[in-house]
Amino acid sequence: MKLGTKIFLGFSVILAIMIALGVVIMFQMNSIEQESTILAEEYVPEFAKMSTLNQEVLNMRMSILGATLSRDDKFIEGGRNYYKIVASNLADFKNFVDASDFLIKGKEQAKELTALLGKYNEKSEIMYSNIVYLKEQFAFLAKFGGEFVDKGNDISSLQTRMMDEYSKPEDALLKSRLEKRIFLTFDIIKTGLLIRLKTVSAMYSNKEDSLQSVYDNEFPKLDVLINEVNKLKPVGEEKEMLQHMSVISSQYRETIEKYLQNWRAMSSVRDEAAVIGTNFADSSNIVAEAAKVQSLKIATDTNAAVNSAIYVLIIGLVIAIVIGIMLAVVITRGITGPINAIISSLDEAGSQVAAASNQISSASQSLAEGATEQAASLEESSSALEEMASMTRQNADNANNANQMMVQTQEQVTNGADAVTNMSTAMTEINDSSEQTSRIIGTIEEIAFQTNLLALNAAVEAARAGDAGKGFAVVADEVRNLAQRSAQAARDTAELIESTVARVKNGSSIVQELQTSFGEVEGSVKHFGGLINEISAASNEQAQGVDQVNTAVAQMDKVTQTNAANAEESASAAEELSAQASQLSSLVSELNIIVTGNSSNGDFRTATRRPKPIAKLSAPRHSMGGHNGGSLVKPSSSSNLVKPHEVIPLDDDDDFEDF
Amino acid sequence: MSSDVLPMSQSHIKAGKYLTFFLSDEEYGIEIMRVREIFGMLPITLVPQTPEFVKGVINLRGKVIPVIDLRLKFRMNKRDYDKETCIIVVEVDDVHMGIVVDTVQEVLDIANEDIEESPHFGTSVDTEFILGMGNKDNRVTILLDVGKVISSEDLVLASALGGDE
Repeated sequence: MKLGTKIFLGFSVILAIMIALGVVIMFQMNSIEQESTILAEEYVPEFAKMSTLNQEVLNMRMSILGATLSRDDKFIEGGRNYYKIVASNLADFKNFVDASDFLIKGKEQAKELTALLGKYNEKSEIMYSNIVYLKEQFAFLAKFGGEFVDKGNDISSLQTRMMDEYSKPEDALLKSRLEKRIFLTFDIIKTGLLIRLKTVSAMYSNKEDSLQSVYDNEFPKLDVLINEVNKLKPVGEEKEMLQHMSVISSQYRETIEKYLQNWRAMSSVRDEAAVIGTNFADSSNIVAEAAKVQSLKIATDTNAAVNSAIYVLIIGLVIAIVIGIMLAVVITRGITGPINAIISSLDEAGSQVAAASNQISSASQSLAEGATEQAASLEESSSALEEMASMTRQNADNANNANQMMVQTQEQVTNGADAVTNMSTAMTEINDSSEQTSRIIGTIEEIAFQTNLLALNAAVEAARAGDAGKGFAVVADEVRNLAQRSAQAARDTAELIESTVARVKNGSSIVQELQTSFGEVEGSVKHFGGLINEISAASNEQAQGVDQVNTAVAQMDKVTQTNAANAEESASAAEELSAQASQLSSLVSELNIIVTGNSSNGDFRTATRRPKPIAKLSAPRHSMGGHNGGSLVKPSSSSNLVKPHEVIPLDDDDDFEDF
Repeated sequence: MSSDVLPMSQSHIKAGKYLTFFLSDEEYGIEIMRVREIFGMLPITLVPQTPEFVKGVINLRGKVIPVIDLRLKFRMNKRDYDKETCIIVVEVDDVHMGIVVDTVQEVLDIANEDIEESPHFGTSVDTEFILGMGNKDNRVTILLDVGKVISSEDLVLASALGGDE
């Protein structure tokens, strides 16, 4: 892989992880946003509306309670106003929850709330009418109470005036009665006042029981007092007035009774309304609770989603960092590894070049030595070749004689083989005629069989003819005997023929063997002829070859001299090679500094290895220089290491002057 | 001699001339008066839907004669026909029928004293079609009653195939 591709791939992987991470987080955030929107647009408004509604309902209930307690028109009006507000709020809430997809509890409860509110309103209207009645009756009570007291006072003043009239002694009885009546009238007035006081007190303290006890306990007392007064024989106007008073008292009493009934009715309605109000509150609480629960759930979900997003983000970042580090390591190794390998192989190559140049120089030495020996051998070879040429010619003559004799032999063998072939043909013909004879015998057998059948048929006919056929039967029997004899003869002949055929077959196989043997002999003779021919030709070629070898030896001398010139050139080339090897080493150390930032390793290599080849190169040169112009010296140490074909003469042509 | 042949309902044993032939290694004889003709193997035309031993029909000088293989009839092993195989035309109840035999031997004159009763192997083995055992010159010849060998069913079949006179 290319270096650029590696780096590009590394960054691409990191970018891909980042993009994937971003996409994942974006999705998470999107879902969180959706949840939040639901929370903000559905559950929170629902809760807020429900809270407002509850507040208004409480206001309404407060107003109604105020109305029942104070019986003030302001409260009634306030209660009705609040009812309108609550109704519009509830309608608003209902519309809101109906439009939503999520607020199921709200939808359920909105209907119930509407129903409850309707009922509540009915009850409150009943209470309002009760309050109106109570106010009326209260006014009546005030009126009757005032009349009663006024009437009492009138009676009292009348009695006081009458008291003055009874001044005479004979009026003493009347006077005492009147006195009693006066006291009783005072008691009546006092009791009436007490009733009024207790009534008002019960009303304002909102105690029905107190009012009931006034009704139950005080009025009988009043009745007793009025009865006592009437027993004491009131007179004239006094009597009328007392009666009137009694009427007022009973009216008052009836009014109180009505008031109590009304009051109780209102209380019970109020209690029912309170129950409805509580139900209403419960129902609205359910909505609020549901909204709260949902809100909490969404909040929890959102929180979880945010948390998971954070986890994903952290994990993704960690993965990205780990992969980034791994990629960084891998790519860096991918870059430095090959360069290091190149450096080491360059270094290796440098040292190898240096070693090679050393070997070249030492090889040149050996080459020179070899050339000397070669020259001496060439001279010996030349004389040996002369002798060989004469022997070769004699060989060729002998071979020619032998060849002629072989041709004669071959002709004789061919004649023999022809005779055998003729014999084989003759045998085959004998075989053929034997087979023909067999067929003829088959025909004879067939005839004998048919004759036998005819004889049998004749015998049958003879038998059927009875006594007339007796002679014929004898003839038929004879014919049958003849047929059997001819069949027997045919069988014997067949056996003979069979044995003849077998013998002919045996003879044929022997002839075949003979033919094969002759063929082999013929082949051998031909082979000998060929061999002798080859020997003859080879001897001739050998003679020519010896001449060619002579020419070659002369040429070899020339070549040896050319070799010497080439050896010199290779020596100078080896020197140049050595210089370039040292330059390569310095380049390698520079590259090493770039890659590893440490120059010691490369320097060490070049420092230790470079001097070696130089020393080796220089040593043979000195030894050569010392013996220049004289006989060549065998370098004992290096001769074993250098292969013969590597030997190149390093020195001048002077070394070969002896040849 | 023909007078001896006729009362065979009383005694199966009767002297006279018999045509002998071979099936496998055994020699059999049939009364010469039953034999119409003997000849070598002829090409047989196969007739379908017939029992296995019915080989088919031959055309003998313009006459169609049914042929049965006696080997197969006697439930012996089948044997390929060769140049010695012969067909003997016999006459049973005026019906001509060819029977294939391995080879025909001779016309043998057997005297009464040379004939022995057919052997009894018990009730389960039917030897009714054997007239007797010829014993002459140390040769045992099984003398067959052709009328029994060829059953009436065979004759009906033979009539149907054209063996009628």
